[in-house]
Amino acid sequence: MLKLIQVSVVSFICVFASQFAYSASVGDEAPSFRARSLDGSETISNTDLVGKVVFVDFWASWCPPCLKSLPEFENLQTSFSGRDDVVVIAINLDDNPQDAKNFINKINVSYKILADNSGAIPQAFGVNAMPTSYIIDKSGVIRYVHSGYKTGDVNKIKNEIEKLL
Amino acid sequence: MKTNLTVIFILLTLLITSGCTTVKPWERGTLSKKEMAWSPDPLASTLGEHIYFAKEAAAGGYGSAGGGCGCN
Repeated sequence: MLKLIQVSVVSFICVFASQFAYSASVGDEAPSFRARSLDGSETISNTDLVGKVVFVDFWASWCPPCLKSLPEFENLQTSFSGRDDVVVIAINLDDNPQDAKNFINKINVSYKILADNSGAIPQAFGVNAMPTSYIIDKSGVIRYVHSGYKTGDVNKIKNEIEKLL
Repeated sequence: MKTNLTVIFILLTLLITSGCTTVKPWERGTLSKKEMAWSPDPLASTLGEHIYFAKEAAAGGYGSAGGGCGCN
């Protein structure tokens, strides 16, 4: 009987331990990614962004804080519009890209919106909340991770980007 | 016989536990739909809970709100 209990406990531990996946954090090298833009006009990969400070945000149309953050990220784009070494990217994770398009059509954003409905990119980054954003420095190392979003957080993100320039 | 039972138990345990998984944050689109909520109409359920509280002098079973000001 004791053996059965031991076997059960070990099995449960093995199964539940497998749920704790890798999560990219500050100091880690940013995972490789490649994604098409939401409108399908271009494909961007991390290799295109070497030598640039990259702000990557993961969002979905069903996530209320994400919808609050996207219009504010336009301030980031505007603040760094004169620089070609800063890139703002928002990666949409909706199952249905049309949901994202419906929202994007309502707001005026000029930064890049990519789409990954396979979930491979957030899996690689180990996104553990929606929205989550990462600031990646010019050498491809993650320097800042921001989980969740409330009004005004963009100022903190902007300061973190400026530190890397 | 006992060994067979142990093997069967191990296999069953592994089979059952392999069905356990966590929903990733980006996979919660369907769960976030209005029709997936416990209460499809939050306003109506809040009103219902308030009436229940007023009649039965019992609150908190469905969760509670407020900062403890005693003004509800």
